[in-house]
Amino acid sequence: MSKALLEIKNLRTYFHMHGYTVRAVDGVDLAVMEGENVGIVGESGCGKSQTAMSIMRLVPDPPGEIVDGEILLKGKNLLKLKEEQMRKIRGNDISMIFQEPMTSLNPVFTIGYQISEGLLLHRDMSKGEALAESVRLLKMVGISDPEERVKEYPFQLSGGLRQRVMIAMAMACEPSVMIADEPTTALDVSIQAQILRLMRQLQESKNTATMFITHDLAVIASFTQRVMVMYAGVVVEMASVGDIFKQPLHPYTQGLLSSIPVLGESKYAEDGSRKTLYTIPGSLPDPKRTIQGCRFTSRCSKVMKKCYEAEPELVFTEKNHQVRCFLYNDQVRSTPSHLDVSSSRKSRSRKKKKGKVRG
Amino acid sequence: MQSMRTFNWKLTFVFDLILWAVFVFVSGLGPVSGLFVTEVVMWLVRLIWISPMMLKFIIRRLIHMIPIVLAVVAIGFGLIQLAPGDAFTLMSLDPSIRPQDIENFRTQFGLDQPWYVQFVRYIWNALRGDFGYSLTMKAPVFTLVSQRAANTILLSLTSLALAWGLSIPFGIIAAKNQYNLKDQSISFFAFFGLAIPNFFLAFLLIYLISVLGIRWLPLGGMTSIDHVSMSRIGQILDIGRHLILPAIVIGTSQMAQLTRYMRGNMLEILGQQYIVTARAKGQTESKVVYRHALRNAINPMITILGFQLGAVMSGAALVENVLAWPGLGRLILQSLLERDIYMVTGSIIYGVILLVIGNLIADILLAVVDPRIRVS
Repeated sequence: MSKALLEIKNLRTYFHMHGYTVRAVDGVDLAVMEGENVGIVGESGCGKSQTAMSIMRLVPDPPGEIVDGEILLKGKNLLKLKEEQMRKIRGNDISMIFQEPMTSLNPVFTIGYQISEGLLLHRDMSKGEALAESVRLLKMVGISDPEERVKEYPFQLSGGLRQRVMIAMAMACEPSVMIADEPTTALDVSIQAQILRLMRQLQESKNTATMFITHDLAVIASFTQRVMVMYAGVVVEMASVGDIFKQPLHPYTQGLLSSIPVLGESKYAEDGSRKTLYTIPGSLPDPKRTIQGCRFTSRCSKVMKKCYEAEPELVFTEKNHQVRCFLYNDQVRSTPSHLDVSSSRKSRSRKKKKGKVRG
Repeated sequence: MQSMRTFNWKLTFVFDLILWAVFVFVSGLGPVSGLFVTEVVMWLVRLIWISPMMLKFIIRRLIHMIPIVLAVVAIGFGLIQLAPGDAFTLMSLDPSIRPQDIENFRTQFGLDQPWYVQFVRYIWNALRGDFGYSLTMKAPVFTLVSQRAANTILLSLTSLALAWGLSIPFGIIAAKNQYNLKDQSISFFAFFGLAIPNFFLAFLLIYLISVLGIRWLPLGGMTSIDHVSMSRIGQILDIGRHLILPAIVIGTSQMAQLTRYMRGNMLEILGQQYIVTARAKGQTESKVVYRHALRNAINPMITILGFQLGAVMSGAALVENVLAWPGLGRLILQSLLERDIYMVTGSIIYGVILLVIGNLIADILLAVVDPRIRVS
């Protein structure tokens, strides 16, 4: 295995709300190799996006805070950098594509200006050169008549075109890591396929490592090589894409996969009654409370007595397959005592939305 | 879709200079007012060049003005007709004037005619630039109103500049430091300004200045007694000195409102996704706030500016009375009490025209800053 390009060690991002603390990311470890595609899956509110925002160090502070961990980019710890040094990494070494192409572009500036911005910041270019480069980038992401488009404003483009502009913007400085936070969620299916194809082409030609955050398992299957499944702020399973789909180990991953409708399967059972699609019962645990034991206990179909007592450790079952479940190991993770947060005080509002899992 | 046309900046500035020279040397305007007219004209030309739709838009708005002004004049005229008595009713109480003379006056001024005849006559004369003759002040209405309106506009624009100049930075600072000490203290002053009535603040300040004995700050009026004997620069300074108090009084409440608006806008915009995008690009924090966020937060403010430009004439009436500022508000009140119809109608027309022009300016400004309005 080649050396890790981006390495996350024990990342913990907490949100200090009034009277309680939300542990959005609670000890995530991940290594991304050069040119690799890693997928992060999980339902809304499981900490996927906050992991990404932590890597960019864009977690709003206050209330958010990265309380522990290391993020190493080519061996350099990003969490130790000064804001000014970090600014030079954003958009240059690591760039990001967001979920909502409709709101991710500033409505009052031209497309050309917004793409040029990154180039002017990180490359030694004049405004004219940056604009010429923007035209080239727009052509690269498959936009016709780029010379005209650079002068246009975001409201003049459709959602698919805007997402292409976002990709052009993210690719502008040829970053070594690109984080795509649900880049296709807001697009319709045919545009999704185009955008994914474009991203893969670019990713292969520039050898950019990509972290692909989504809750769409079909996208994961077609785009990534390795998958990390997150639940309530922790990694519950990590394996190659083939292993995840062929032999999911964690009950949560199994549940996710059973929730996907199978094409061509009959709607009716053999006795004529209508079949219902499997759903994982319940929803994410209350983020205000510290959970004793495994976080998935309340929804798990294979819950055992010891699951309530301690949290299992993320361990290797095979060479590239990690899982956090007592079904496969007996190791116990100890929570550092200084990070224990009292949850006795009453809180005003819930930080996170509960979301249903989409297959 | 239509894309934007651009122009050569240097070239248009040459045109600016030429036009300015024409105004100053050919038409005999002063250098300052000549520059003002030149810039207004040239900016309109540039705007129309960038977006030809603008010309159509401006012309359409000006045509729409006509029925609005007519309707307002009719309403104003009618309201005064509804009230019993006219400008000569007071005279009839005077035993030294013969009733016959009063009747003669009425015939002379056309007040014996039915209201619709008076109305049509008034409109007809107004179209030829004659807005009537003030019955109580014995001078043409247009001259009187213009003088007073100029005073009011001076006061309003000064307080407007004060309010905007302070509230925009205050709003930004408050939003950037949400719930911090800075934000709290700015919000405190904003609520204070919102809560205190204008005229009461005027009284308070008068009291404060008198108690503290600040001699150089006048308590009212617009000019000193020896104003006429001063040099040109002395006169300007004199008026400026008199402007301070009323401008602060009017500016405070406007600033309070605007600061709250600006803070709210800024907070909303700073929470937008494209701000995260700008940060993710590695943009500096100051550019994120002052370019990406400010450009968006300022748009709704311009709509408010339109209302304020429109209210420039009427907004200051109370303060004008308290601080003895010789403005239009005082004039309207005075002439209403004396049933000076032509005076009242004249002032109303003046106010309405300024209101519509104020809104037009705001719409043009909005088109300048917001591409969504400019292009579509």
